[in-house]
Amino acid sequence: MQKVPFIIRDLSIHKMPGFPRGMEAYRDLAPNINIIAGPNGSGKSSTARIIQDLIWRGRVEGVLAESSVVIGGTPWEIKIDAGRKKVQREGADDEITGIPSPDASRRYMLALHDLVIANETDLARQIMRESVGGYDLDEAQIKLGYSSAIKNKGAAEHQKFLKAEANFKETEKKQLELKQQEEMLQDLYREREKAEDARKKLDFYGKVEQFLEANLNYARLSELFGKFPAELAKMTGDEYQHIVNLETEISDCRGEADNAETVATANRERLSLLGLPAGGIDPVVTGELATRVRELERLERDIGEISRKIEEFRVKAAEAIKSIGENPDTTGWDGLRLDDVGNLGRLLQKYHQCLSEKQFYETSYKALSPGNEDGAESDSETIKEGIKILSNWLQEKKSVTGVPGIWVAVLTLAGIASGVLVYLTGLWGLLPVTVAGIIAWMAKPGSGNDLRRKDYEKTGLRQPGDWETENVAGIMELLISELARAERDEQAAQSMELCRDRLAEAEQRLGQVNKQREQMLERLKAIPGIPLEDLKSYDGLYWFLVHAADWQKYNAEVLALTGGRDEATRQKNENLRKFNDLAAGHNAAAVSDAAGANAVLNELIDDITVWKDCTSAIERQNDIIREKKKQMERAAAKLRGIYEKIGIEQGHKERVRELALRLEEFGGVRNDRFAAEITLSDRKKIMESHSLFKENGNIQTLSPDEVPGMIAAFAEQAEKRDRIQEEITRIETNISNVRQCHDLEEALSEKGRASEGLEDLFERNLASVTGQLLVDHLRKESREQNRPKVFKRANVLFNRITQGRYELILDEKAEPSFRAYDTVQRLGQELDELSTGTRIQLLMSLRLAFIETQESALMLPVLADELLANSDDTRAGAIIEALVEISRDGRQVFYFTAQGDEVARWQSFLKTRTGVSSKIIELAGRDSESSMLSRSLHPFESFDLTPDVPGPDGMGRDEYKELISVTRYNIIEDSPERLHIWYLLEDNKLLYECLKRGIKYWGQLQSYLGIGNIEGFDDKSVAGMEQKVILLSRFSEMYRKGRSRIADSEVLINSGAVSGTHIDKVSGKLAELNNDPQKLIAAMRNREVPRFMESRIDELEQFFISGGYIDGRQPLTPHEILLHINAYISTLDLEPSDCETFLKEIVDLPLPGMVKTDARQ
Amino acid sequence: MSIKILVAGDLHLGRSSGGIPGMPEEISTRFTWQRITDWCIEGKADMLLLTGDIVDRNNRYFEALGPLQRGFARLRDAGIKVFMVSGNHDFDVLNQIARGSDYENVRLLGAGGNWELASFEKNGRKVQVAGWSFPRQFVYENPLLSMARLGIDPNHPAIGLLHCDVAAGESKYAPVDVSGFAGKGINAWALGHIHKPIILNQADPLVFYPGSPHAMSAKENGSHGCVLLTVESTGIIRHEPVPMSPVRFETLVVDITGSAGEGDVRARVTRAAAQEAGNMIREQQGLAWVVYDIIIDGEHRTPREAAIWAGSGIEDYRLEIQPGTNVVIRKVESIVRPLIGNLEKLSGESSPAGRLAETILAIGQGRTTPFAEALLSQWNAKFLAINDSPAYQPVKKEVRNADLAGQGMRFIEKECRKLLGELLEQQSPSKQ
Repeated sequence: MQKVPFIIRDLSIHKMPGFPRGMEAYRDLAPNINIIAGPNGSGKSSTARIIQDLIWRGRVEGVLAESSVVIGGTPWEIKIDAGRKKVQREGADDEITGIPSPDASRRYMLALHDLVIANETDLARQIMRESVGGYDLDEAQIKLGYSSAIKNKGAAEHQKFLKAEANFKETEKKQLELKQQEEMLQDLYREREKAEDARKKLDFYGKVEQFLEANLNYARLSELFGKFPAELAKMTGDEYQHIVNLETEISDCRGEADNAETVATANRERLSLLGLPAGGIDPVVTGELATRVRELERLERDIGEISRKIEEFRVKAAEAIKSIGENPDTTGWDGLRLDDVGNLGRLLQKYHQCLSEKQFYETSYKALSPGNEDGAESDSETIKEGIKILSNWLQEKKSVTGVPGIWVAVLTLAGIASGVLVYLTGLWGLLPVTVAGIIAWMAKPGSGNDLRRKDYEKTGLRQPGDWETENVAGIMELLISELARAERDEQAAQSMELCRDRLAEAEQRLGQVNKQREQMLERLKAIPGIPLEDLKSYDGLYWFLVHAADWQKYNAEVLALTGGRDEATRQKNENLRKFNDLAAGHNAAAVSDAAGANAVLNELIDDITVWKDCTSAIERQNDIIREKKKQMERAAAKLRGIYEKIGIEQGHKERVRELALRLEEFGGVRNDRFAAEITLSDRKKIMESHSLFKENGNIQTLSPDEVPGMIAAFAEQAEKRDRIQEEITRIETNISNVRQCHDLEEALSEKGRASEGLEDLFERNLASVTGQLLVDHLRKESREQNRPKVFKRANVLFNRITQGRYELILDEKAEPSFRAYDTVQRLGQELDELSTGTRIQLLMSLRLAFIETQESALMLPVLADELLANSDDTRAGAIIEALVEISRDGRQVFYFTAQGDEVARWQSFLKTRTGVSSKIIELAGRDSESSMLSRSLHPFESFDLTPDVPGPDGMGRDEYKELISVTRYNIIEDSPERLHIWYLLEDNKLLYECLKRGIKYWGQLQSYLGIGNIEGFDDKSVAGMEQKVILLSRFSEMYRKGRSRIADSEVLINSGAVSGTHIDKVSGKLAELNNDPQKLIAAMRNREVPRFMESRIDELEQFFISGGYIDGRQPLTPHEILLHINAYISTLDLEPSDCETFLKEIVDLPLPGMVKTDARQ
Repeated sequence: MSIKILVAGDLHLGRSSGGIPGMPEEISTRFTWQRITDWCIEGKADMLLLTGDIVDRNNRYFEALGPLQRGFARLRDAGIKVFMVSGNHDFDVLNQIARGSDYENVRLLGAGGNWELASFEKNGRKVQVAGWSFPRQFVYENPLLSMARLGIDPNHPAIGLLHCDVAAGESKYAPVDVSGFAGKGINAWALGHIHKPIILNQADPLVFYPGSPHAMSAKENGSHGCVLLTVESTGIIRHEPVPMSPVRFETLVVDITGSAGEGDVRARVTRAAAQEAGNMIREQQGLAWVVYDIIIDGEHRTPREAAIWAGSGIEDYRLEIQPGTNVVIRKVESIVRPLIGNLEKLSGESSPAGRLAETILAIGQGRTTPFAEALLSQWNAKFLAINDSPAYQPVKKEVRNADLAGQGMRFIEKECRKLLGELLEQQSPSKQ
């Protein structure tokens, strides 16, 4: 439905808050642009508010306003009065339909501060939802894991593959090495065979060499041996010494025999001097003599000993008799019986015991007899009775004076106890009595006291002075003492009675003893010489009997010993006689005692000894003489034998000596020769038994000098054998082991698995990228086709008011937002990245588009508030242009400002625009502010909202190109959108028209023409330009193949592979390499940027590759490029010459020339 | 009396199958070699023919030779003759073994790239064997062109052994045209190089690739083994496959339409695998491992979740369907479509979902759309960028423009399905 403009023609504000008298009426307002200028407080904001109130609210308290409005050519009247809104059409009440909801009213108010801070996120979100029909592509993308990223070498699957491949390579390498070793085995086997052959020969020729050496040695020794005298063969070496020794022996024997003869002669002479019989003295005789001598000596010792004992007993007998008396007559004492001596001893002991007892009892009795000491006055029983009475008295006395009866009883018991205690313990027993006394003292006699007194007086004991308690107690103490004394006296009397009885018994036993002594004396009196007087006492009798017994014993001993001495003397004399008889037969003198006999015996023994010595000496010397003669004969025979064995005439001892001196040398040579002969024999056998002897039997022809050389050669070869064998064994073992294992198979399997994983990753990556492509295409399509009208309209507006420089895009990320796409830079920019002017243009476009799409029937006025404030010329021009553009469609615009310069800008711009009605209304301020217009006109005289582009004025293309400074196109870096339109437009006027609109690049022009139009362009010319641009694009594509794009630090940052730590170093290196990314990667892999991780280098390289900064393909030659381009040109509706011209103007390259003919033919 | 000849090629000793957890003995090709020799020794074959690439070039030094030589020794002891030719993998290996004097029963034919004829006799009956071996790793010429008259006796059957790349046009592996096998006096050509068993010509002459007797990767799916040639007394040569591979790779499409949730999806996948494998082991004895690549298909309300459900934990899945036979799932791929009532109606909508639906329909019908075209153009660039990326050099694809377009469309269609499912999921009532 065609919308109709809502045009306010007149507006009268009669009353409103802040303006009670209203404002000057606005008359004949322009249908397009109305500039309402005035200082603060002049009513601009109120006017704006009233305009919106008139349209939407209508019920505003305190407002009286009316307006004439033209809607679709029909006049309407709207009045607000007293909070009510009244609408009439052509005089009749009516209602305006098609007005959007009041909520949308704010979008009709374009305030600068709003637009600066606004981002219209809500709108963006709404647009996005509408664009995709309610689907959330982002969510789907995330859930399906779509991404445009190519998984690089850092992927786990790739790492796993690398690891598996490395393992495989390593294992394969080992086996390859082993294979090479296996191939060496045949050579090694041959070498081993040669070495083993050499070893055998070495062994054989070693034996040959030993044989030859032995043979040589034997020959040499044989020759030497033949030079010695023949006698040496018979000698043992000690012959000379033997000869000398034997001659000495013979001489010595002869001397010894002579000496023996001399000694024998001397002994024979000495024998003759002894005068003993020829056979010497019989040893029986000397033995008999010696026995006699020993008997004599014993008898003499016995006689002496007996005599000494006789004398000793005589002395003892004399001493015993002397003890009895002076020279008593002992004649008859020899038969004296002394048996009573023992009885007398026992009797004497009994006598003394009885006498002692008798004396003891007599003394005891005397001691017990009473002396001067006073005895007790009364007996103990009386005293006890007195004590008892007094005690009772004291008890009763106490009872009378208040002492409890129980105490009296206790006292009584104490008294009784005291008696017992004193009786048992002595005075200690008085202690309780004393206590009782004290207690008694405390008592007073009672009524029974008189009776007690009388009883006491009856005892006769000492009476108290008066019967007072103290006195009675004192008497009681005395009685207690008296009681002890009385009891002691009674005990003494009992002991005296006992002593009297015992004394009588002792006297009776003493009498019996005396009777026995008398009987003994009677028997002694019969013996003569007995000193009877001395025997009267018990002691005298005892003395006599004892010493008489001693005399009797000693006297008997003397008599016995004297007989023994006489017998010994007789035996001695008999022995002397026999000794002298025997000794006389051998020229010995008679002797009289043992000493003489002993002397004679010793002399005989000495003679016998001399005889024996001489006799044996003679025999011994004779033996010597005989022995020496035999020895001399034997030595002489040996001497002869030695000479005979050697074969030398006896006596030529010196000759023997000379030969002996050479014998050791001869023996050595002979032994050596013998040993050499054995060695030769052994070595010959060994050599001949060797396996190689037969096939090398020509050893006889070998010179011994040749053999060492041969051996050395064989040794050199042979010594390799073990090493070769070791090597062979090692290789064979390794091969055997490897043949048993499956390492390489497993490594291959692992590599296969890793490869499958990598392929899987490839598939997933491709699926992910495919999905991402799908999502991207759907987004783009939605953006192009499904975007709601508001977006499309905003895009048209935005593109138009930016002269095609920008397009509106919706960034469909999690938080959708609007962005501006720079058609020249081919760069999308966030709102924050835009200049304030562009930002306002974008947001204004959005607002206006929204307004337009919201309006269903009416085109309501837009109110703008100081949008140009602080704007530079370009921005201000853009904003004014935008407002003018929307007013061209019929929408009324009110621009409110307090700034005179803004008014001037409007005026300057509106002068150049036709078909746009405008009106400037100046509101009077509250104070005396001067006119804004007059104040602000001057600064904007030169205000020029159109770009300063010189016209071509008849210039040629190249000349005009110089004038307008056409930007050079970079075939590697620039996109076709960046191509300056000079290259595309041959008509300078048309070019100028574009430049005037700020359109310099193909991107701008394409965008502008896609949305709007410029006079002079038609579809054909546009299609021609498009084909040229595609041609350029194809050319660029081919030219770029294999050629790297330059990169800078910004690219490095965008790669995400270079951290902040390394960015400076990497950027520096990149600059150093003329910004060639390929060289940079090579340098980094060469570690020219220290500590940069390999994985990051891979990532950066991947980024360069995917971003086209590195192209690993082979570059096309210019010829190849031209071939392709010519082929492509053939498909275009362009003349090849035009294409050639077009490309040559752009590409400053040594192209070989374009095909001149039409390829289509 | 017939003569039985077992033909095997491309064993690639020294390698093992991928996609199986751990390194069990059976996944090694030496296990299959042992099985082949056992089979011969058990009296089922009179002669063994090997068509090259018996040893893998990447492991040709020791690990492969041990088992190979042990097998030759066992065959020697059993009196079984072996004729073989070398391929591009073992051109320098088999020659060495054949030169040795330990295996008089083994003969390499055509060493140095010179055709050679040998013969085998049994019970008075004779079979001729002609062969040509790779003299170097790459041979750009057609070896059949150098096949001069070998003196083949037309009265006795003749078998040709050749390692070659048939119908490959330009190839560095002895390119041969299938028509070149005729007229050479050979009754049956046993070829090597292609791992998939193929019969190129049924008779006059019989031309066949026995294929690899041991499946090594998911690319070698289906049954793998040898071919038994029976030379009848009439001179007719019959052929029959002899499955040998202990490993079998299969791709299994599982329709999950109507599945309720994760458990259901997983159950359908595992149940289908178990059932399929169960059928397979009844047909083929000696299978130790059945490895599945699962493709879940059909319609589901949440295709993305269904793919996650089906794929989660597959690395731990292992089912022993009979003693010694395990089933594992190597990977799960999803081509599940979103649950759309009317895709055509949706394609009419001016929305991302409509555009995706339109694209799916078009690709499915072999058509294209401007949207798909634009996508494909960029996809090609992306593919090349990824393919050229240093990270993927080890698995870089040989790019053929014709294939690339088709591959791109498949990728686009697949992602269209996923993305459409995701967008429709956003519109489901539960998400509103």
